[in-house]
Amino acid sequence: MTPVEIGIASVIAIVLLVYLGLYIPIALGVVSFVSIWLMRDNFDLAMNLVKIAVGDSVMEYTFATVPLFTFMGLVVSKAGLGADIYEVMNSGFRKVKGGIGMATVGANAVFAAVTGSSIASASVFSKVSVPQMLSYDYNPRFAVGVVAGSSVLGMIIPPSAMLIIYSFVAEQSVGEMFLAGVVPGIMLAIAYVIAIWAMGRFTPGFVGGRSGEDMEWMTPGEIAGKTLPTLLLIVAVLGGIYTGWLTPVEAGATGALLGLIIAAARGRMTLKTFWQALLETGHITAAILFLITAASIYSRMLGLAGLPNELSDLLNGSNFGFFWIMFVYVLLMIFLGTLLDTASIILIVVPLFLPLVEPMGLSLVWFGIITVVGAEIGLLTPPLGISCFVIKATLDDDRIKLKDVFIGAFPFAVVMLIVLILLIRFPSLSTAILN
Amino acid sequence: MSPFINFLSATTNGIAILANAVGTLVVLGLVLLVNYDVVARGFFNSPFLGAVEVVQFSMVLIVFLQLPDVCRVNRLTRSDGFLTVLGTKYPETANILRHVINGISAAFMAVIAVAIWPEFVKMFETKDFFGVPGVFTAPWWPVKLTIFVSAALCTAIFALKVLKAREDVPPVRLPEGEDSR
Repeated sequence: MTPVEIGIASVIAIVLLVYLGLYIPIALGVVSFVSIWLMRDNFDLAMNLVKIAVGDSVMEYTFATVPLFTFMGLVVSKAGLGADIYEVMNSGFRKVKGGIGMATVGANAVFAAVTGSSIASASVFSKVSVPQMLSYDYNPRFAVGVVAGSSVLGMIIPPSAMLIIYSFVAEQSVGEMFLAGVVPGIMLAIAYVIAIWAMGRFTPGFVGGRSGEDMEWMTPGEIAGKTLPTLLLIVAVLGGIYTGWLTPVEAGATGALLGLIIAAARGRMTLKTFWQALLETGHITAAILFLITAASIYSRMLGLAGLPNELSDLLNGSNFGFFWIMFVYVLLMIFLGTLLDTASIILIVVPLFLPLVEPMGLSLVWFGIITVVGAEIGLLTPPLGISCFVIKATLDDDRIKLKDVFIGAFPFAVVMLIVLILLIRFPSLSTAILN
Repeated sequence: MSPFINFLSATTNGIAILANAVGTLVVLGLVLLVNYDVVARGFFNSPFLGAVEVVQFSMVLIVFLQLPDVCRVNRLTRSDGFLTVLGTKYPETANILRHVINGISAAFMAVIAVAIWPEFVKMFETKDFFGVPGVFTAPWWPVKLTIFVSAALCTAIFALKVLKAREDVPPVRLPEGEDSR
């Protein structure tokens, strides 16, 4: 077999093994190790590449953003900031059809600016807003669909673990990726609210529910108490990065400490929850960085096989335009999204497509936003919509089946696709904030 | 399952939990260190010179001290939809597949350990360092040693999982600290 054939075979083998349930970093590592060995018929070279990848990739300074932002996110969830924002939004939207749904979207968007994980958002809001929607007679499918759909905002609005991972693969600055995520994230949130309004107007049966006339207005003091801590965090973190006063690593550390102080001041942090948050931070960091390590063996393997260059020659030779390349890319993302989790999709697919996109003069920051949004659609689609699984597991309510979560999330996946197309068509939506 | 394997498994698990606790403290240290640097630089104009190197080193500690525990509790990233579905219809087949997966994982972790060992020996003998000479430097060998020990421990944990008759894995993983865990 030629190196290119081995390369293609190993990409297919990785997807297959991951689907069978092999740990993703192990699949990336083992297959790449074996194919480098076969390609060059050189065991020592393969060992050497493993050694370099494992020894060096973790030493990247910007990777400290992963534990820092993860810790900040966990602390603020445990401090109940997400639930607070939700209550404020809810009192604002209480007279609107589908209002609790809109409040959930809005609260998710704000909460996303202090956490980097869709999973955290999904589990917080399925406990807070789904029970309330059910008690106001909303359609259960709609209730869980809203939570699933809006949990995706966590990964697009900065700080986001996925944007950090992409910035590593594509060698872009984490700060720029974060800033580029702001407008698309807000756009998606607005699109969701419009979609909920439209569903309430044209398919009221799917939304259900009655307006919350009996809910009370909050006093300005209450509103301030519930929103100011979160706003302070957002200003410190994103403002620090935007003004250049803090590097992303420093912003993460500052945010983590501020979050801790807020949680302690409100008496929401016991020694036990504090230790739990630290422990989980460590687990998540180790899992993500080990995945990145394995992916760096994989991208070295692709380079040796010459697969990315081959792919770009193929596409250039066949005169595929921008439209078709993007079409194929999005289709691939959505397909893989049904099998793999977002981080793995980014790590597997981006190294293949970068050499294709770069010579076209397209912005790699923009490409990252497209990639993350595209891969996130898969969080909402069966059979492996991870957000949907988390919601089902957190609710633990026999009346709501996994199928219901997927059906409820479907309209939101469609809205995401529409927003994705807009983002592809108008790159300045992502990049304008950088200039 | 033989008592000996049980004993070995309890030992490696204990070490993994201990390493995990140490790694957890490093996370806290990282938060404090970077904040100290921000304040010292921003308000007193006297940055901590070794900040970058210490952050790099603490990343190695966080990742590799916690990796064995991540392996122990099956939290390495995976998509287990197929395994879960298979498990409901053919529990035996799924169990065999899990063993094969753990076997492959043990093999790969062993490869890492074997690959990194000579590097540790070399660094320990040459006393090579990273960082900027004259400003702040740190030796390489503790980094390589941490990785070696971690990979060796992960190998043992996966290998012992293979030797166990059956392991019970919850089909859906909730964030830690949630009710069902």
